[in-house]
Amino acid sequence: MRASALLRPLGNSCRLPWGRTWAAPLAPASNLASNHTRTWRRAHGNEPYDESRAITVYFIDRDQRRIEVKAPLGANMLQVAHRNDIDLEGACEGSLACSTCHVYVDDKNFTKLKEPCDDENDMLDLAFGLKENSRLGCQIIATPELDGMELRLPSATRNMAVDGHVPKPH
Amino acid sequence: MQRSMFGLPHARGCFALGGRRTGSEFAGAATAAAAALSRMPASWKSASLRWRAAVCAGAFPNWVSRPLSSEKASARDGHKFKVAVIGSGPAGCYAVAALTKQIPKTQLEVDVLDELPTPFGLVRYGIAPDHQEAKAVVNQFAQSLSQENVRFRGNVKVGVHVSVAELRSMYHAVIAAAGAQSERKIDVPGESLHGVLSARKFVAWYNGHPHFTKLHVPLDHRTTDVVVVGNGNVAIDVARILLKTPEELARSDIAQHAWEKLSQCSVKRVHLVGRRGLAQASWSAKELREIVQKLPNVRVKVNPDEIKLSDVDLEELEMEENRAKKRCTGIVQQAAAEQESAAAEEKRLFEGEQQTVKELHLRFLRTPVLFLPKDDDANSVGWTQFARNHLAGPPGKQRAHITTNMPAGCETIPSTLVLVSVGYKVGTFDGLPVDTASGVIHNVKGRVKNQTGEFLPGLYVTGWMKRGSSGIVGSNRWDAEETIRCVIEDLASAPLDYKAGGAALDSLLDIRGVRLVDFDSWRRIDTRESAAGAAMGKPRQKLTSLEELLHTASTDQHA
Repeated sequence: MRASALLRPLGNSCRLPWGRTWAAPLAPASNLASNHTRTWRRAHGNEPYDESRAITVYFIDRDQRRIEVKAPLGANMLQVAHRNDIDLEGACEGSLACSTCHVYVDDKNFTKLKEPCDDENDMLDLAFGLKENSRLGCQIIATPELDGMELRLPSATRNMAVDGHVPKPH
Repeated sequence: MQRSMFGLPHARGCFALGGRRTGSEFAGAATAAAAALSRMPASWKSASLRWRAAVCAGAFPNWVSRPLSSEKASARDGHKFKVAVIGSGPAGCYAVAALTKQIPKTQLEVDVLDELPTPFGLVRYGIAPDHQEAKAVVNQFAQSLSQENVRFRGNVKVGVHVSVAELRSMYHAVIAAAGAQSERKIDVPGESLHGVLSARKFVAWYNGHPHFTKLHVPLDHRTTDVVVVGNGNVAIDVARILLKTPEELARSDIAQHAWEKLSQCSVKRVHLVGRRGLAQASWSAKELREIVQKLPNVRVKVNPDEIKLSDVDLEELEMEENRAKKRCTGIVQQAAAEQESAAAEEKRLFEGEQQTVKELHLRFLRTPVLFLPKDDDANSVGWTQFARNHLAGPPGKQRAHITTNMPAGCETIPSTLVLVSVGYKVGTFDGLPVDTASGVIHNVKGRVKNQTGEFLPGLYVTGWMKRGSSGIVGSNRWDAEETIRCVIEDLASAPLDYKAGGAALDSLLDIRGVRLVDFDSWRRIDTRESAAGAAMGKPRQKLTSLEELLHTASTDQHA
């Protein structure tokens, strides 16, 4: 067994007993990078954001907590949510093939957004708990006029059987 | 569940016991176990042999035996909540994600079982090979399955290698997420002819499912017309695979054997036939838009008479829940309006050239009534006969009724391949109570009930087994969260007794000679497939035989 395999469970860096920090060497093969790293790279690219120019966005999570986060201009809301550990799912990693990053946008800012394209509308049709102000998080790009935008995550507490929700066919 | 340690059936060869135990009970347990040991035949040399024999002794009771030497370990992990998830497709993976999100790592152990050596179920073997973006979800699933308190146990068939009853005795909760492994039938004479296939099998075949590589698919240079029965997304998927050019498919992760066959066949027309009308078709806009608007070599043919909408249809489309259907209707109407000009354009462009254009015929209000054999081969399908339908009923509940005078008014379409795509259903699954009417496992919010309406404690379902074959990958998240809420409610309402969990499962499977595939072994398969794919310019080149998969799983490439 290779040393890297032994070290893998420790993550990419760890504190060694004698006080120095061990950092995993940059993995040459992609299978050495942790899944999280891989997902992160795929979803967010390798390019850093321009953090100096950012707007404030509020997420209201499923427990009704209001979370203030900074959204760098040009970043989409799926990326912003993931950077801030907000439980917004991006199953297709922003490629417009799912509707898991569905959010409700506050009315004031909803009208400022560009009309959804056909592909986004097609996916929104399949979103769970669709409303008038529904959008896909991955399609909302931070721009200066959206400063203070409020995004609400759809609630998971809806009971499918009771409120008559019929999931759309695969 | 508290149990007296002295009520144990020692004669069956079990020698330690479960239950939340106090200190004095531990002492008592040790004595009882020692007594049980002394009654074992001396020829059973080692403790592990005796342990195995104990496991072999038959179905587990509610408490589970474990070797004496790990008594300490049991005290340590006795408080852990142990869960088995059957199936590692979207439903199973979202169940794991929901569990690990809710319960702290130190208190939870999850084993995910899969019949195949490969995880991710329908993401690998269901989602079309040319929809790689929809498969991106495996990154997230892989993260769930590679957590330190989650173990993947591939190549374990529940019902053959281990039963649901045994799993229930080993784990606190068993969550069945094995999906719909059967299909609805249309019950038409001639269905048994060669060449009439369920779309489910065809999908599994082109996706390289190891159980379907030998499927006989009659696609060759004489195949010109294919009939697809059904107007859903699976019907569109199979039609699109038949219509795309071999060059386009070569960039997908389609199975090699399927690609070879598809690139040699000469399909000219695919007829997508629905029993009801355009307004009732159950496909979704994204899939429909792709096949109608985005395939350069495909011409769409629609009979304007078949897509006329009645007043009831229009009323139906205005309903709130039919927003998606209204958009789909628009896509087909637009295609119908443009087909004349498109045909003229095509004639101008391709005049004198070899035609590579294929046709997609969208047909509505037709019911297949008879499959007829080929003129020169009485065992293979050559023609499909359709009767015309009309719709009757209130908006949202319209049903198709046959209007044709049989058999004179029937329409016959040539078809050397017929793919029936009218929905999946849950078959029998190791004694789980199936509701035959709706084709799902009897359950309330994920808690399984038996036929008489009693709940079966510790047994849950999620995904297609719970709600039927509907929804997209993401729908399983909501479904799993509902089931996991029930699991946690039940967990909180009773004291946790001792269960042996994964250790017992592994030794049982070991005795039964099962070649386990864990998540690291799957990574070996993944690495090899990706590397082979990269060399061919495709996302992956799937290994399609069970033997090859198991061999790759057990060989370290770097060794």
